[in-house]
Amino acid sequence: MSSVRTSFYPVQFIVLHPHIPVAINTVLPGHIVKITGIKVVHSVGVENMTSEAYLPVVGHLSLEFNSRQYHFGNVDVPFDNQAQASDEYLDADIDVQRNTLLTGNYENKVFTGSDYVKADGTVTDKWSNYIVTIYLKTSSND
Amino acid sequence: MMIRSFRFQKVSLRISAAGQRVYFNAESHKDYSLLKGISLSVGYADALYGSTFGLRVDEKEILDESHEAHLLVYGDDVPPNKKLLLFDTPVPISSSKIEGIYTDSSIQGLLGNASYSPGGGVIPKSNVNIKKTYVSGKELVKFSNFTADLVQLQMGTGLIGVSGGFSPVRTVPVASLYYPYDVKVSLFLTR
Repeated sequence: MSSVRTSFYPVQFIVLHPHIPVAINTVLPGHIVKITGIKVVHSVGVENMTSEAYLPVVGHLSLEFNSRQYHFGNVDVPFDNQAQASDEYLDADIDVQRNTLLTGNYENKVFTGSDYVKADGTVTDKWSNYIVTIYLKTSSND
Repeated sequence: MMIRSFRFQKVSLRISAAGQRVYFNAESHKDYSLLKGISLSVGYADALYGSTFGLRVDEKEILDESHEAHLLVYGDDVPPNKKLLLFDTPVPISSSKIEGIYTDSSIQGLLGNASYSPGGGVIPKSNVNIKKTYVSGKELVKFSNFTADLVQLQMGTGLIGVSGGFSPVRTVPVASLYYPYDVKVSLFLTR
Protein backbone atom coordinates (compact mmCIF):
# COMPACT_ATOMS: atom_id res chain seq x y z
CA MET A 1 0.00 0.00 0.00
CA SER A 2 1.42 3.38 -0.90
CA SER A 3 1.37 6.40 1.39
CA VAL A 4 2.04 10.05 0.87
CA ARG A 5 4.58 11.78 3.07
CA THR A 6 6.17 15.17 3.27
CA SER A 7 9.89 15.29 2.65
CA PHE A 8 12.46 17.94 1.93
CA TYR A 9 14.79 17.57 -0.99
CA PRO A 10 17.81 19.88 -1.34
CA VAL A 11 19.59 20.51 -4.64
CA GLN A 12 23.02 22.10 -4.15
CA PHE A 13 24.92 23.90 -6.85
CA ILE A 14 28.30 25.61 -6.80
CA VAL A 15 29.18 29.00 -8.30
CA LEU A 16 32.77 29.04 -9.52
CA HIS A 17 33.01 32.33 -11.45
CA PRO A 18 31.29 35.69 -10.96
CA HIS A 19 30.58 36.22 -14.66
CA ILE A 20 29.65 32.76 -15.90
CA PRO A 21 26.02 31.65 -15.47
CA VAL A 22 25.41 28.30 -13.84
CA ALA A 23 23.17 25.83 -15.64
CA ILE A 24 20.97 23.72 -13.36
CA ASN A 25 20.16 20.31 -14.71
CA THR A 26 19.24 17.37 -12.53
CA VAL A 27 16.70 14.55 -12.38
CA LEU A 28 14.38 14.58 -9.39
CA PRO A 29 13.92 11.30 -7.49
CA GLY A 30 11.06 9.17 -8.71
CA HIS A 31 9.26 9.15 -5.36
CA ILE A 32 8.51 12.89 -5.54
CA VAL A 33 5.00 13.43 -6.92
CA LYS A 34 4.30 17.02 -5.95
CA ILE A 35 6.20 20.12 -4.90
CA THR A 36 4.38 22.26 -2.36
CA GLY A 37 7.08 24.77 -1.47
CA ILE A 38 10.38 26.16 -2.71
CA LYS A 39 13.12 28.00 -0.87
CA VAL A 40 16.49 29.07 -2.26
CA VAL A 41 19.25 29.90 0.20
CA HIS A 42 22.93 30.70 0.11
CA SER A 43 24.70 27.88 1.96
CA VAL A 44 28.39 28.65 2.30
CA GLY A 45 31.09 30.73 0.61
CA VAL A 46 29.91 34.33 0.38
CA GLU A 47 30.90 34.93 4.01
CA ASN A 48 34.51 34.60 2.83
CA MET A 49 34.09 37.73 0.67
CA THR A 50 32.20 40.09 2.95
CA SER A 51 31.92 41.07 6.58
CA GLU A 52 28.20 41.81 6.14
CA ALA A 53 25.69 39.41 7.66
CA TYR A 54 23.04 40.22 5.06
CA LEU A 55 23.05 41.00 1.35
CA PRO A 56 19.56 41.19 -0.18
CA VAL A 57 20.52 39.66 -3.54
CA VAL A 58 23.62 37.72 -4.48
CA GLY A 59 22.10 36.27 -7.61
CA HIS A 60 19.00 35.47 -9.64
CA LEU A 61 17.73 31.96 -10.23
CA SER A 62 15.30 30.89 -12.93
CA LEU A 63 13.69 27.48 -12.32
CA GLU A 64 11.83 25.07 -14.56
CA PHE A 65 10.19 21.76 -13.73
CA ASN A 66 9.04 18.70 -15.68
CA SER A 67 11.84 18.93 -18.24
CA ARG A 68 11.22 22.62 -19.05
CA GLN A 69 7.45 22.21 -19.37
CA TYR A 70 6.72 24.40 -16.35
CA HIS A 71 8.56 27.65 -15.61
CA PHE A 72 8.27 28.40 -11.91
CA GLY A 73 9.71 31.88 -12.28
CA ASN A 74 12.70 33.89 -11.12
CA VAL A 75 13.89 33.92 -7.54
CA ASP A 76 16.21 36.42 -5.86
CA VAL A 77 18.80 34.65 -3.74
CA PRO A 78 19.90 36.53 -0.61
CA PHE A 79 22.91 36.04 1.60
CA ASP A 80 21.52 35.92 5.12
CA ASN A 81 23.62 34.74 8.03
CA GLN A 82 21.36 36.32 10.62
CA ALA A 83 19.65 34.21 13.27
CA GLN A 84 16.30 35.76 12.36
CA ALA A 85 16.59 34.78 8.68
CA SER A 86 13.25 33.81 7.20
CA ASP A 87 12.36 30.15 7.14
CA GLU A 88 9.39 30.56 4.85
CA TYR A 89 8.94 28.57 1.69
CA LEU A 90 7.47 30.05 -1.46
CA ASP A 91 4.13 28.40 -2.06
CA ALA A 92 4.06 26.02 -4.98
CA ASP A 93 1.69 23.42 -6.34
CA ILE A 94 3.57 21.54 -9.00
CA ASP A 95 2.70 18.01 -10.04
CA VAL A 96 5.96 16.33 -10.86
CA GLN A 97 6.16 13.90 -13.72
CA ARG A 98 8.29 10.88 -12.92
CA ASN A 99 11.96 11.02 -13.93
CA THR A 100 11.80 14.52 -15.38
CA LEU A 101 14.41 17.23 -15.10
CA LEU A 102 14.70 20.17 -12.78
CA THR A 103 16.41 22.80 -14.88
CA GLY A 104 17.30 26.42 -14.51
CA ASN A 105 19.87 29.13 -14.74
CA TYR A 106 21.68 31.10 -12.04
CA GLU A 107 23.42 34.43 -12.52
CA ASN A 108 25.73 35.80 -9.88
CA LYS A 109 25.24 39.51 -9.17
CA VAL A 110 27.91 40.32 -6.58
CA PHE A 111 31.69 40.62 -6.34
CA THR A 112 32.04 41.09 -10.08
CA GLY A 113 34.63 43.89 -10.11
CA SER A 114 38.31 43.87 -10.93
CA ASP A 115 39.18 42.91 -7.37
CA TYR A 116 37.62 39.55 -8.09
CA VAL A 117 38.23 38.95 -11.81
CA LYS A 118 41.52 39.57 -13.62
CA ALA A 119 41.72 41.02 -17.12
CA ASP A 120 42.28 37.55 -18.53
CA GLY A 121 39.00 36.37 -17.03
CA THR A 122 40.42 34.25 -14.23
CA VAL A 123 39.33 34.92 -10.67
CA THR A 124 41.57 36.49 -8.06
CA ASP A 125 42.25 35.09 -4.62
CA LYS A 126 39.61 37.42 -3.21
CA TRP A 127 36.90 35.47 -4.97
CA SER A 128 35.41 32.52 -3.10
CA ASN A 129 33.38 29.78 -4.71
CA TYR A 130 30.01 29.57 -3.06
CA ILE A 131 27.17 27.11 -2.80
CA VAL A 132 23.46 27.81 -3.19
CA THR A 133 20.81 25.28 -2.21
CA ILE A 134 17.34 24.91 -3.69
CA TYR A 135 15.06 23.35 -1.07
CA LEU A 136 12.00 21.57 -2.40
CA LYS A 137 9.20 20.75 0.02
CA THR A 138 7.65 17.72 -1.56
CA SER A 139 4.95 15.12 -1.30
CA SER A 140 6.40 11.72 -1.90
CA ASN A 141 4.61 8.55 -2.80
CA ASP A 142 6.16 5.34 -1.49
CA MET B 1 -2.47 10.14 35.18
CA MET B 2 -3.36 12.46 32.33
CA ILE B 3 -1.14 12.20 29.28
CA ARG B 4 -0.29 15.39 27.50
CA SER B 5 -1.50 15.80 23.96
CA PHE B 6 1.95 16.70 22.73
CA ARG B 7 5.54 15.95 23.60
CA PHE B 8 8.96 17.20 22.63
CA GLN B 9 11.04 14.08 22.40
CA LYS B 10 14.72 14.91 22.50
CA VAL B 11 18.05 13.43 21.70
CA SER B 12 21.39 15.08 22.40
CA LEU B 13 24.41 14.77 20.17
CA ARG B 14 27.95 15.78 21.06
CA ILE B 15 30.12 16.97 18.20
CA SER B 16 33.75 16.63 19.21
CA ALA B 17 35.75 17.53 16.11
CA ALA B 18 35.54 19.29 12.75
CA GLY B 19 33.89 17.15 10.12
CA GLN B 20 32.54 14.71 12.66
CA ARG B 21 29.51 12.71 11.67
CA VAL B 22 27.12 11.47 14.32
CA TYR B 23 24.34 8.98 13.76
CA PHE B 24 21.49 8.11 16.06
CA ASN B 25 18.87 5.44 15.93
CA ALA B 26 15.92 5.81 18.28
CA GLU B 27 12.32 4.85 18.79
CA SER B 28 9.42 7.28 18.92
CA HIS B 29 7.45 7.44 22.14
CA LYS B 30 4.80 4.74 22.15
CA ASP B 31 1.97 7.03 23.30
CA TYR B 32 2.17 9.40 20.35
CA SER B 33 1.02 8.75 16.81
CA LEU B 34 2.13 11.77 14.77
CA LEU B 35 5.43 13.52 14.20
CA LYS B 36 4.47 17.08 13.38
CA GLY B 37 7.80 18.88 13.30
CA ILE B 38 11.43 19.03 14.22
CA SER B 39 13.97 21.56 15.43
CA LEU B 40 17.56 21.66 16.55
CA SER B 41 19.10 23.75 19.28
CA VAL B 42 22.73 24.47 19.92
CA GLY B 43 24.69 26.68 22.25
CA TYR B 44 27.02 27.86 19.54
CA ALA B 45 24.92 28.85 16.53
CA ASP B 46 27.81 29.49 14.12
CA ALA B 47 28.62 25.81 14.27
CA LEU B 48 25.49 25.04 12.32
CA TYR B 49 26.37 26.97 9.16
CA GLY B 50 27.45 24.42 6.63
CA SER B 51 26.58 21.52 8.90
CA THR B 52 23.85 19.15 7.81
CA PHE B 53 21.16 16.99 9.37
CA GLY B 54 19.25 14.11 7.81
CA LEU B 55 16.20 12.36 9.24
CA ARG B 56 14.41 9.14 8.44
CA VAL B 57 11.32 7.63 9.98
CA ASP B 58 10.78 3.91 9.51
CA GLU B 59 13.50 4.05 6.86
CA LYS B 60 11.62 6.65 4.82
CA GLU B 61 13.52 9.84 4.19
CA ILE B 62 12.06 13.03 5.64
CA LEU B 63 15.12 15.26 5.52
CA ASP B 64 17.88 14.52 3.07
CA GLU B 65 21.32 14.04 4.64
CA SER B 66 22.41 17.34 3.12
CA HIS B 67 19.65 19.44 4.74
CA GLU B 68 21.38 22.40 6.36
CA ALA B 69 21.19 22.31 10.13
CA HIS B 70 20.91 26.07 10.58
CA LEU B 71 17.51 25.99 8.89
CA LEU B 72 16.21 23.85 11.75
CA VAL B 73 17.63 25.68 14.71
CA TYR B 74 16.18 27.83 17.40
CA GLY B 75 18.41 29.92 19.60
CA ASP B 76 18.22 32.42 22.42
CA ASP B 77 16.42 35.02 20.34
CA VAL B 78 14.26 32.72 18.31
CA PRO B 79 11.51 30.83 20.11
CA PRO B 80 10.80 27.24 19.05
CA ASN B 81 7.41 28.05 17.58
CA LYS B 82 9.06 30.47 15.16
CA LYS B 83 11.73 28.13 13.95
CA LEU B 84 10.23 24.69 14.35
CA LEU B 85 10.04 23.02 10.97
CA LEU B 86 6.41 21.90 10.83
CA PHE B 87 5.39 19.23 8.37
CA ASP B 88 2.33 20.04 6.26
CA THR B 89 1.45 16.38 6.42
CA PRO B 90 2.39 14.97 9.85
CA VAL B 91 4.36 11.76 9.73
CA PRO B 92 2.45 8.79 11.20
CA ILE B 93 4.45 7.01 13.90
CA SER B 94 3.89 4.00 16.09
CA SER B 95 6.96 3.26 18.18
CA SER B 96 8.70 4.04 14.94
CA LYS B 97 12.36 3.78 14.10
CA ILE B 98 13.81 7.28 13.94
CA GLU B 99 17.25 7.82 12.50
CA GLY B 100 19.31 10.94 12.12
CA ILE B 101 22.73 11.88 10.82
CA TYR B 102 24.41 15.13 11.80
CA THR B 103 27.55 16.07 9.88
CA ASP B 104 29.65 18.96 11.08
CA SER B 105 30.76 21.49 8.45
CA SER B 106 29.97 19.13 5.61
CA ILE B 107 29.12 21.73 2.97
CA GLN B 108 32.31 23.76 3.40
CA GLY B 109 34.17 20.69 2.24
CA LEU B 110 32.54 21.04 -1.19
CA LEU B 111 33.76 24.59 -1.89
CA GLY B 112 37.06 23.50 -3.35
CA ASN B 113 35.50 21.08 -5.79
CA ALA B 114 36.24 22.32 -9.30
CA SER B 115 35.18 19.28 -11.27
CA TYR B 116 32.19 21.01 -12.78
CA SER B 117 31.64 23.25 -15.79
CA PRO B 118 33.59 26.56 -15.78
CA GLY B 119 30.81 28.48 -14.10
CA GLY B 120 29.75 25.73 -11.74
CA GLY B 121 26.77 23.43 -11.62
CA VAL B 122 24.67 21.03 -9.59
CA ILE B 123 26.76 19.04 -7.13
CA PRO B 124 26.04 15.32 -7.51
CA LYS B 125 24.26 13.72 -4.58
CA SER B 126 27.07 11.22 -4.33
CA ASN B 127 29.38 14.11 -3.40
CA VAL B 128 26.97 15.81 -1.03
CA ASN B 129 25.77 12.81 0.92
CA ILE B 130 28.72 10.97 2.30
CA LYS B 131 27.40 7.47 2.01
CA LYS B 132 30.79 5.98 2.66
CA THR B 133 31.72 6.25 6.27
CA TYR B 134 34.87 4.81 7.68
CA VAL B 135 34.78 3.40 11.16
CA SER B 136 37.70 1.52 12.65
CA GLY B 137 39.04 0.89 9.17
CA LYS B 138 35.80 -0.67 7.97
CA GLU B 139 33.67 0.90 5.28
CA LEU B 140 29.99 1.23 6.00
CA VAL B 141 27.87 2.50 3.21
CA LYS B 142 24.22 2.75 4.15
CA PHE B 143 22.36 5.28 6.21
CA SER B 144 20.08 2.61 7.62
CA ASN B 145 22.77 0.31 8.90
CA PHE B 146 25.28 2.88 10.05
CA THR B 147 26.83 1.83 13.34
CA ALA B 148 29.90 3.23 14.89
CA ASP B 149 32.06 3.75 17.88
CA LEU B 150 34.05 6.63 19.28
CA VAL B 151 31.20 8.96 19.93
CA GLN B 152 29.69 10.48 22.98
CA LEU B 153 25.97 10.55 22.71
CA GLN B 154 23.36 11.12 25.34
CA MET B 155 19.82 9.91 25.38
CA GLY B 156 16.85 12.20 25.77
CA THR B 157 13.49 11.46 27.29
CA GLY B 158 11.76 8.52 25.75
CA LEU B 159 14.46 7.57 23.32
CA ILE B 160 16.11 4.21 23.22
CA GLY B 161 18.52 2.34 21.05
CA VAL B 162 20.89 5.20 20.36
CA SER B 163 24.25 4.69 18.77
CA GLY B 164 26.66 7.06 17.13
CA GLY B 165 29.81 7.49 15.18
CA PHE B 166 32.17 9.75 13.38
CA SER B 167 34.01 9.87 10.17
CA PRO B 168 37.26 11.64 9.30
CA VAL B 169 36.21 11.55 5.65
CA ARG B 170 37.28 15.03 4.69
CA THR B 171 39.39 17.85 5.96
CA VAL B 172 37.16 20.85 6.46
CA PRO B 173 38.44 24.43 6.55
CA VAL B 174 36.42 25.74 9.44
CA ALA B 175 37.48 28.91 11.15
CA SER B 176 37.10 29.66 14.85
CA LEU B 177 34.76 26.87 15.85
CA TYR B 178 35.05 25.43 19.29
CA TYR B 179 34.70 21.76 20.01
CA PRO B 180 33.02 19.95 21.52
CA TYR B 181 29.54 21.37 21.15
CA ASP B 182 26.18 19.78 21.75
CA VAL B 183 23.21 19.69 19.43
CA LYS B 184 19.77 18.85 20.76
CA VAL B 185 17.24 17.39 18.37
CA SER B 186 13.59 18.07 19.33
CA LEU B 187 10.88 15.99 17.74
CA PHE B 188 7.40 17.48 18.09
CA LEU B 189 4.99 14.58 18.70
CA THR B 190 1.23 14.64 19.11
CA ARG B 191 -1.35 11.99 19.89
